[in-house]
Amino acid sequence: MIALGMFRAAALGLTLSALGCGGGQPGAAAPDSSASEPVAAPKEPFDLKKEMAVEAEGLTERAVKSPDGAWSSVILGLGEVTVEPADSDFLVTAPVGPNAMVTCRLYDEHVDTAATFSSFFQEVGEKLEYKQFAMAPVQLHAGFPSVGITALYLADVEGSKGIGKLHTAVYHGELRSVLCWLDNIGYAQTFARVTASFFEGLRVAGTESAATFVEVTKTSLGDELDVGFSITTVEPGENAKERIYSKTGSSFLPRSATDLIYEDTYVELRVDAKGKTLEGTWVKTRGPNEITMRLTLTREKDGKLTYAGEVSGKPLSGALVAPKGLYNPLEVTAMLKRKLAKGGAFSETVPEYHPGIDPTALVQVTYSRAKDAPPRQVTMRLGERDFLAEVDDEGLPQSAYSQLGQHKLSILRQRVSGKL
Amino acid sequence: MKALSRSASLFLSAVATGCAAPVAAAPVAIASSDSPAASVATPETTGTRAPRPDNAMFLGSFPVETSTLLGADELLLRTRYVGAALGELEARQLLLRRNGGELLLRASSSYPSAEAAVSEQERTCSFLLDCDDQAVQALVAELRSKNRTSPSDVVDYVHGFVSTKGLSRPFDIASVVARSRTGDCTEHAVLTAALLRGVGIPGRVLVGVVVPVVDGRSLAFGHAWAEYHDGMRWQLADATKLEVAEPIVYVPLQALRNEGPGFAQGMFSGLQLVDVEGVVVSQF
Repeated sequence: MIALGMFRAAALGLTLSALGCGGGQPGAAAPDSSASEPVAAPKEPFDLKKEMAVEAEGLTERAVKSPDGAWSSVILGLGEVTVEPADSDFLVTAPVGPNAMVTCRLYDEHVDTAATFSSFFQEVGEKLEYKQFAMAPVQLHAGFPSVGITALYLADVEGSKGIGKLHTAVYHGELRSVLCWLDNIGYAQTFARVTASFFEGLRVAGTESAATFVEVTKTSLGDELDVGFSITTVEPGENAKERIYSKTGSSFLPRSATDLIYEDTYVELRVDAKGKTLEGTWVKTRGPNEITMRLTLTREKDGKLTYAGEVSGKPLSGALVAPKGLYNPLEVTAMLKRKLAKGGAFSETVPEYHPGIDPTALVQVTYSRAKDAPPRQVTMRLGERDFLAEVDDEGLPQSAYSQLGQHKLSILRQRVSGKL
Repeated sequence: MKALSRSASLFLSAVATGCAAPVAAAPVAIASSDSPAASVATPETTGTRAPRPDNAMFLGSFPVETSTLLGADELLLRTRYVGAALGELEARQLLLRRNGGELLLRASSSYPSAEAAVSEQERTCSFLLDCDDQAVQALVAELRSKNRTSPSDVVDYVHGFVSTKGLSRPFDIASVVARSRTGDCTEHAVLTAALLRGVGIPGRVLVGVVVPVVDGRSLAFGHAWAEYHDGMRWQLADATKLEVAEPIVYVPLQALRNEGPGFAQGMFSGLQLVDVEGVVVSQF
């Protein structure tokens, strides 16, 4: 599923052929967002601040749906909104102003969010000089996350440089993903409103999610910069006594004004009735299509835990030294629930498998609560790093913080439904 | 100072990631707001001041509390830290005093060599420094064929070979760098150390802090570089070739010991032991 998502994202080039990437010209005419021709020669002084402040007025909600009724939504726009098939996906285009159109590609399944952004900016950016990326906060629509990234760019325009802005947003809905974009120096709030309307209104017919538990978290740096999100689900396994725990995560870590590290992760565990891990899969990808880790963990018939796969392009396999077994997130949650119900101080060190840190060995993680700590406050110590977590009655962290030098890393629950 | 701390808050420190842009020299800042006014800083309005470091070459940046020109050869660096293992700081006798969460270091613009003996690991190909990989071996063969096997030859070669200098890679192993030719200071350091071992010279990767002068101000940056052993002591082999005014003061914090598939754990556990929160520079 992950690999498919990645390659789907990498195939964006077809979609983007219509993207103008025209941009404006400082000291020249207003930016022409969606036109495929470069901006014309200046006719009047260019006011960048004024152009950036342009927003659509009089947007109205339009109903949109696929011809076969497989999905429906609403979208804000001006004039005619179009719906066109694109391979097995759909392109929905909503005009929001003169030469300004929001286009959304509704995929027929989930795609990897970070890979989709990365692929988009890579393919569109061949003739652009990116000057700055900026992230919009993670938001929930119908209970699932969206995130936006804008890119300020320069492009060659008639022998000079033009400035433009790409607005993008990816929505990881319950059953499908959506990528939206707008190429215009203005319309920032308009883009946010239009995409929110489409994401919020999206309904997919037919398939019901089997998840009995859903949790959405976001990851932030400091108090203001969202750099990722994760979606955890638990659903019944094929064997009635088994369950499938899965966690999909995407991150967009800024390293400079123009460099982001785009990474997607996927973890899937098959656990037995007691919550013990029977089998696990970890996949980590970077950029549009680079698989940096693909590992499976198997509990053999003799109870031995073996791993096999590939890390940084190198094959790896072996057995984990696990004299005290292996704790997965479900077991950690149950342990914390028990400990917190008893009250008082505690300290429990458990072996966990974090192949992103070390694919060849278990990592010892200590969970503790100090005697005088607030009732739900638990410290998680991984190596020399401490995370301070606020845990709910079920043993699930509602928030977790770690100080990285001068920076605070936060993992904050956005919503939870169902029970483990 | 406000601008400094705002920018600083947007980048992870050396502890957590690879290189990031310097605090005071970044031409534009990534904003988190979705408002157009906050999220856009145009090249026209922010400009680019010269001289400035190549922003692809540094680990995270740290605030410098005093702006003293680095005129003298020796400096006092006062850093705040967490943890207790001070690795290379003590090995190189840079540490003058520790007081609570602060370290007082004596640093010099001449590279602080270490006398530590060469271990077997520092001669051998590993998961991280995979000089036995085909892609790395091809580069070793090229160096040998051109008779360019001295440490300075390797440094020059890596500097030219890594053609896409950017911050989009967190911490790649040497063979990935050999194939992608992309990276920042960590990728330069990893490939340099792997090639050094490949041509028979003991090499390793160091992570620490550098303090250059940028726009007339002292700035502190996290940085990664390689070292080679000259038969007597460990010496600097920095293929990133920082484009900043000298003197550049190198403060080695950790030599990477875990070069296996779990090298990230070494980064996670080892580096954060010296979790630099700030650097104070003053004349010595």
